[in-house]
Amino acid sequence: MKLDRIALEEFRRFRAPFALDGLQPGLNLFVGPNEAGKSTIAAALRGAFLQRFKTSKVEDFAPWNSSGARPTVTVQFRVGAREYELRKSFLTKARCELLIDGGAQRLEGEQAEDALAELLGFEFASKGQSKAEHSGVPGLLWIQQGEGQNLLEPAAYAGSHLRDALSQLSGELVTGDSDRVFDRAVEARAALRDARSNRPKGEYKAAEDALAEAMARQSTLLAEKTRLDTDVDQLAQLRDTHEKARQAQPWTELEKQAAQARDKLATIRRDQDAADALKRESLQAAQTLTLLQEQVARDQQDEDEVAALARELEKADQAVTQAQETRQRTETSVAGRTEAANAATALLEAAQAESERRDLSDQIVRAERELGRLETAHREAQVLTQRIAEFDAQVQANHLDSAQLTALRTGSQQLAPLQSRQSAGATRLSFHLDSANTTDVSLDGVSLQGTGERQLSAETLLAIAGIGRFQIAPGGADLPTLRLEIASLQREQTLLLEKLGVADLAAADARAMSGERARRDAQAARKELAIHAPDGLDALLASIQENRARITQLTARAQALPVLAEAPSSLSLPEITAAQREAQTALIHAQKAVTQAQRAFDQVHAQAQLLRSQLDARRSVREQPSNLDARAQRGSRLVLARAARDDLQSRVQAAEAAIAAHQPALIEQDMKRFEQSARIARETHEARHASILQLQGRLDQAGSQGVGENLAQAAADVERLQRRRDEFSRRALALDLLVDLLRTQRDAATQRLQAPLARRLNHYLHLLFPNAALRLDDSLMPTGLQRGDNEDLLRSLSFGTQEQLGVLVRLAYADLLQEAGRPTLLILDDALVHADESRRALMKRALFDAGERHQILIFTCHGEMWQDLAVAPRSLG
Amino acid sequence: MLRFIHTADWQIGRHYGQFDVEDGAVLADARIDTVGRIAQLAASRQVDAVLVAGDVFDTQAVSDRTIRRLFAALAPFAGPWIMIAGNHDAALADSVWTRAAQLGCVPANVHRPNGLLVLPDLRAAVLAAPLTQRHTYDDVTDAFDRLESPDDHLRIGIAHGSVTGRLPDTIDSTNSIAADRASRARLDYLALGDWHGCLQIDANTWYAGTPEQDRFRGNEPGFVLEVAIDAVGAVPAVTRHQIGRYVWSSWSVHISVPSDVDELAQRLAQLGPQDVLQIEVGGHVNLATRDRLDACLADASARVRSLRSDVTAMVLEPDEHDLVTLGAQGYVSDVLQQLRVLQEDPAKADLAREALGLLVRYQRELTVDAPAKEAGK
Repeated sequence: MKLDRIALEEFRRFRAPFALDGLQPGLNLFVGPNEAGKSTIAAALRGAFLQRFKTSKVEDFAPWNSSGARPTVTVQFRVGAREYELRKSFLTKARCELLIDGGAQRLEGEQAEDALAELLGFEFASKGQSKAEHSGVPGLLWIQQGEGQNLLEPAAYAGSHLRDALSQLSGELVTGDSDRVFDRAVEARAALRDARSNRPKGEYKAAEDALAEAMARQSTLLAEKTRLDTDVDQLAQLRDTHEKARQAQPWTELEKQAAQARDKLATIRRDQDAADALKRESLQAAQTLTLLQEQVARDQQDEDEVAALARELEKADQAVTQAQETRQRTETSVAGRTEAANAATALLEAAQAESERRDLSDQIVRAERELGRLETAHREAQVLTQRIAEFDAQVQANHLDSAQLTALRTGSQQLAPLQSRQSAGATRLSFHLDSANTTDVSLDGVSLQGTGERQLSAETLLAIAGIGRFQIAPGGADLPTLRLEIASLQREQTLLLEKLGVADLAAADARAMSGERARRDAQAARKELAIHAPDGLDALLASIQENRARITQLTARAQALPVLAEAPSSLSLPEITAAQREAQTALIHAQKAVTQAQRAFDQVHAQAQLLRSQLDARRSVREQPSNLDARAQRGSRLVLARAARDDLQSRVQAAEAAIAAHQPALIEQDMKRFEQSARIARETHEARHASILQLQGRLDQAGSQGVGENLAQAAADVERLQRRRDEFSRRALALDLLVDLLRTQRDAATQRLQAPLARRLNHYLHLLFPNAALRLDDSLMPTGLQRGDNEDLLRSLSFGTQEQLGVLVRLAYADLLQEAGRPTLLILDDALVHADESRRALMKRALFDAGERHQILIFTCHGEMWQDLAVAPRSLG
Repeated sequence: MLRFIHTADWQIGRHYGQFDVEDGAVLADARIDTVGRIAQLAASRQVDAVLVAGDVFDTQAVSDRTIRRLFAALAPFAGPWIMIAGNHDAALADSVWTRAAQLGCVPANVHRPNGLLVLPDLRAAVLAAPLTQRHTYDDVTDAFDRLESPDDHLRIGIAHGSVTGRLPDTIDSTNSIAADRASRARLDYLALGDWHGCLQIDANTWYAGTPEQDRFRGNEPGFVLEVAIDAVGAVPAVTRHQIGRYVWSSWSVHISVPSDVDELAQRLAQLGPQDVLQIEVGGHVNLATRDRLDACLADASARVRSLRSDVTAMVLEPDEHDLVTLGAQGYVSDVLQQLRVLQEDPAKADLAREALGLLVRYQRELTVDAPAKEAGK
């Protein structure tokens, strides 16, 4: 298809007639700024071809603000060898006219429009404005501003035309009908099977569920029926057994046997009672016998005891005689021993007296010697005592107070330097008097005589009789003080001397010395006295008295000692003492033996007496006539009792043996066994009867429910439902097979169908993306771009890339349509504005290539971008 | 002269799973209706008694309602009904019979003898051997040999079981009956039940068969026997009365040429509301033939009581004309071809047949219905 000329009149911005002519086959580039009318031309083309001329919905075709406008578009074009002129006016006096081959054929109105639709491959809406879904091939190839990337919808609207073209090219038949059959099969299968799990659904599932339910019901009923059958069999068996038992009555026989055993047991019990009575009797006899035996034994014991007593008495008498002899023998022995002892004692006494006498005289000698010593000591002591008294008197006489003495000494020592200072400072007065008269010269009243010297430490009055008086005053300044100190000290000295009773210090020292000597002498004398009379003089005197008294005593004792008649024994005193002691001991032993013998005698004698009296008593009782009789009787009774007991014992044994022979324990067990068996037999019978009634009841109840018939019904249901399920199952499997086969064949057919399109697509695609491929879906739509191992969904690509692919795919569709002999025209209104320079270059290559085969109208406001398209741009506006 | 009706195997309470619910219920009801017709026949023929040789009921635990209906159906004949228990309704300790007795719905003229029953009015002695166990390995008629009856009375035996060595296709060892029982026990007639077909064993021994057919195997069911015996020792005269309502048939048809369908259509045309048909159709057919077959089967199913057809074994072989008519194009026609081939594959034939049928149907919906729709538009 090739457009030659487009003319507009009263169309939007073109109020005045406007025409684009001289359009080239291949590329045509229209450049103009915005609002220059590029889109108006594109819209006019769409309006001319795609809108019904009658439609009133195209007011926008009219120029702005002009009423009664008649927008008119005239398009001249050719398809193959035929030339067309389409003239369409809208709104006012709307009209459509199509002239073919210069008027050789002329179509008007809808007829013209339908011919156009058929020619170009689109449809009209049944009424109203044309819609995108009707725009078919032009809708796809005429790209409106900003719609380049929008491919899928326009392609879908052109789908049938594309598919027809493909069918034509591939030789593949139209698949539309096949697809409907396929869809129908898929739908039928989907009704029976879940898409994901493949499990039955819908009616199929309902049939399966119903079957499962019926089978469950059947098996429940079957179990119930089986139980009922078992119950019936059991009932029959129970009834049979019950009837047999009712007739046989096994308990009767058992009860009879029990009764027999009971009777037998009663008899045995009676025998047992008799035997028990006998046994009691026998026991009594035995007791009597025992009693008698005991009495006889006691008699015998008495007898034995008397005899024993007699024997004992005899022994006792013998013992008495023996004891008597022993006593006499010991008494004789004592007499001899007494004599020997007395002799030994006498001897001892003599020896002792002698020894004492010697001892006493020794003591007296020692006492007298001691007395002598004591008397000497006494004399010495008296002398010493006297001397001590003298010394003590001296000590007392020369006693000085030691403190006073010390004070005296101190004072004297202080005085001496003072006096020497006084004398040094004092006025020395030497005199030498010729007169012997003492009263002639006096110094301070003290007469001077002879030659002498005086030291004057104070004003002194020297009076010389007859001459007058001289007041002498010493020159030293401190002399008065010294004099006062000395006078004070001298007063103190004088006072102390007075107190001490001495004239001066020397005298005091001499007295102190004398006192000390007397004290030491007294001390020595005392020590000496202590040697002579350690305890004092009185004690010494007492010792002397004591000694004297003792001597007197000892002498008296010696004189009191007996004088020995005979010569003293040659034996020593200890020997004599030992002999005497031996004799004494022998005597004591002999005396003890006598005592013992006496006691032994007394004892045996007393025992013999006791025994004799006992024996006599016993004998007298025994010999009583009544006792003698009783004893004799007891003997005969014993014999009788023994016989009676033996008889009873043998009778008891016989009776018990008879009872034992009956085995009463076994019979008792028999009785219990039979009784219990009878009871059990009856109880079993009754229980069975109860079971029968119970079973009967259960069966009655089950019978009214008609289990058998229900089971038959359930089995019939199962059979029917199984059939239904099998039908569905077969249907589902057949559909599986059918859908499988259809899908496989459909895939193969689609692939064959798509081959020419794929070839064209790849031709353009490789200009942009070498080694890439577009994946097509069943409806021939590209869905993904495969590059290497990756595939990107179309809609995930960038806007620019989507637009570029949108243009390329349209070029491929155009090739396809053209190959199939359809008219093609491509319009790009401001397309590819989002392409970068390098992509745009590649797109230009593709467009140039397409321009070799198709007429392409490119409207742009960027003329500079399309300079290298080998076509002269035409300016608009 | 004694005249009585001999029948057996009523199998009341039977259920049919092989049919639709509705058909099954009608067929089950039919069994009781047939009993009513037997009573009417006995009344109209003025027989002396009706002997029912076992399996009156199909199962022990039938519903009370069914029991009542059965005994109510006996009403038209007021003479004695002599019934014994068979293996299906054995006289167990607790059975459908004890149940019926409890319900109190058994009419007084129904006798259920065990052993000897003397009917002085009829000068006849009935020797009855009801089954008291589900299965017995003893010949329960053995006792007949030793049962004494009045000399001038006819001896009529009644029992339920299989006559040893005389029944086709049965090797049942249970409930066996000696083949020469009638002569050994000096019976004038031995009325037997258990075999569902009407069958004569010897001059004095008959199976009456079930009066209302209950399975497709055809061995002459649907009869009752009218027996007339002149005197002791006389050979009984036996008349068969068709009494059953429904006739059960099972056909297996092979279609090899289109005209076979015409022949089948003719056979089907003869069927009526009394017919219960099971039909299995096989063979190779083109679409047109198949359509005709379906049409005549549909037609027949509207006329008969019940029709069960199985055409799954049929191989559909669309011919050139069919294919043109179908108008299958594109890959559908490829699949059509594939399925035609698969029909010959034993492993997949069954499913392939079904799938082909479906495909043809879908394709037809498209090509036949679509133009029709357009025409309608």
